[in-house]
Amino acid sequence: MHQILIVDEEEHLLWALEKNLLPERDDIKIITASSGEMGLDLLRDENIDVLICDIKMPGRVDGFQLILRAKEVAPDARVVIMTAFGTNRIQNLAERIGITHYIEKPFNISDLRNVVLELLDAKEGFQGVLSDLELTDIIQMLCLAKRTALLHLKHKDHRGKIVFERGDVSHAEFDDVMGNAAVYKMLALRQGDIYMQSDFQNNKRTIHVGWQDLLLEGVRLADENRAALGLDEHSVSEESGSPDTSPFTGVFEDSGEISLGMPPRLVPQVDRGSGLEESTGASFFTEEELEEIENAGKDLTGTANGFDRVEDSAVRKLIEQHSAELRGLDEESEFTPSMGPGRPTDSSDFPVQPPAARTFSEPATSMQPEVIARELHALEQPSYASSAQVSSAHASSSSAQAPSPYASSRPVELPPPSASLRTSGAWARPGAAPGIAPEDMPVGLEQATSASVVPAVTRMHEDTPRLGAPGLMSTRDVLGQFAQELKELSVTGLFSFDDGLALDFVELPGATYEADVLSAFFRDVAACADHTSASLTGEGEFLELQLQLEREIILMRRVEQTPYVHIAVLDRSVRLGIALVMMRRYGAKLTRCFI
Amino acid sequence: MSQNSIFEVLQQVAANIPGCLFTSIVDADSGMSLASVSPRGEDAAGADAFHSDLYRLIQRSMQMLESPQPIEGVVLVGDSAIFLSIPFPNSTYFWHMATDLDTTVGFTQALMRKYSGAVTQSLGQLLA
Repeated sequence: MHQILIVDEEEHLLWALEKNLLPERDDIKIITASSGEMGLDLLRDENIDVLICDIKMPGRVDGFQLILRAKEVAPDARVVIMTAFGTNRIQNLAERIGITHYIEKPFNISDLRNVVLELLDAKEGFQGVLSDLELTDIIQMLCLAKRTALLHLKHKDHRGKIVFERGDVSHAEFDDVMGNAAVYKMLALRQGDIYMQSDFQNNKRTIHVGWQDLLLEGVRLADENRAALGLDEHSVSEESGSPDTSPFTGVFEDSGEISLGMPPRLVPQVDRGSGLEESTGASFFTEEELEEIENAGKDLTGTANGFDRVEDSAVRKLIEQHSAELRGLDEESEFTPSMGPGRPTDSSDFPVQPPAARTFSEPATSMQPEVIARELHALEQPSYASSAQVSSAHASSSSAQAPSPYASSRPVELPPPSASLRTSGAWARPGAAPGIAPEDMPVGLEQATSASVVPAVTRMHEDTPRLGAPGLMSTRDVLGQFAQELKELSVTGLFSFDDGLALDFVELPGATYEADVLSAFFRDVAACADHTSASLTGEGEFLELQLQLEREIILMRRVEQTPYVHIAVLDRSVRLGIALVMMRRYGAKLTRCFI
Repeated sequence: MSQNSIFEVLQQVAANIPGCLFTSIVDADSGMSLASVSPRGEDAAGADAFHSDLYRLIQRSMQMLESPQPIEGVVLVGDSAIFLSIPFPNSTYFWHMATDLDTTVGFTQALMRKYSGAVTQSLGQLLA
């Protein structure tokens, strides 16, 4: 008797699959669970042959955690991921952790049936091993799954923490280093033990750049350092992650400075209790350390000022060091770390200004100068982080988010950082982040929005040209004005028709939809609208979509000459005609932001 | 009441909208047309099927956004046609209409509202 466990929060889907997946097969039993916790219990208690789970589920154990645990509690189970977030990157990541079977919602039951039968017939076991996971993979998975989690990392006597908040990396510390530099240090480790904690509190934010920037920069630094050290990646064996054998570990410990090498390889281990999950190498955390970890949330709460002070000098020192190293490389190595063809690297490529030196008393601007610089570099040369060490997922991420032709074809000049921060910085609701007072909000926002319009911006595409050339408005400015004019608006923004990633979003007080989730789902709606539009003539695309729901009206409109769709969620009390006219008018303005 | 009645109603609606490309009654679950009238001979099957998929995707999206709510109407403006639809209450069916780009949405919606009672009644009798 084979047993198939299906875990999904959608009970009607579970019911349908239970009844219809393999009704004619008496030798196959379908078991369902509507939460990750239930699924985990069943994985432990039942002899499960195939686990089918959604990657995104509410609760303390989502699909990602479940897959990680499955290797331990049901090592023979084959895994199929089903997700509504059907992006190539999730598929890539699934493949990289050994999950070769992936199905995108909505799907036909027959497709899933074929996958399950193939798995049962093949007897191929849990494909891949989680020991192949690198820290970069784990960070990506947590971010893509929009997880809120505290990841603990241990390497010898070193301790690190990375805080994920709804898919953003918000804080990190490694020994006495905070912020971006701490992440870079952890990415440089060759091996380590990790725990993931779901129940924690954190009110610190030392990382203000997107996770993709963070990872790319970390990998880039690792590449550069490896090139500087003249180390051959292939000379290090798979097992060299041992603390005693890794040359990088020695460098790291001897110098006390950042060491750049292969990301750690991590092996999942047993569950250590509620709220904690562990992926670990050869060594485990001690019981005392586990207690420390469980109290980590409290620890994180009380030491923000100290962190900021340390980080300011430490990060500056690190960045200066790496800028110097890179300058040296430029002279000595045939590996030229230029940011674009024929363009020599100089110190301005790696701004000395510490990215994580901001404190909570400052506006929560996510558009840091180095991000601006990197975006502009990306426009010139999208794939500068293209060494062999960049994983396929990174490469995929990089290519997926490469600037569109609309972006790369236009000359862009870097606005003065202060000006760009005022006009393009992230907007936050007062109280949404600790210490951010209304008066600390960006000046441009204060001027551009009324008291009732307090937008927040979610930015997923890090290297798209929302800055606008000098003299042109940014997409954020346009969206802010749009929000100001339509009082019934709750959320509006731009998402990519290509991959459903949010570009810029403005959320009004009371908005309940997350920009990235809204974008992901309504990208599918837009794609379907395209099919409908093309159904009569065989070609064509949708220009505008009006959805009248019981409580809301959702308007979507293509931004002409761009790959983006403008979406607006409005209260039903809105005067639809005016909303449509505004949408069209602002559509033209949004187009101008890109041209 | 026979099936002709619903065709008659749809033909009457189509005759009143000069730019009507087709009008159909579609099962949102299967995407199949229950009845369809195409004054210009357009094949509505594809549009009906994709439009029903649109309904499912919208409902799924709103559920995933933890805000499930009934759809009351959809207007889709393409670059070659305008598609309008309204669901029938307590049913999996929706009324689908496509017009050319010269026909105003408001005019079509007004006529759909005018005939919605008759269409609903004929559908109810057909399915009873």
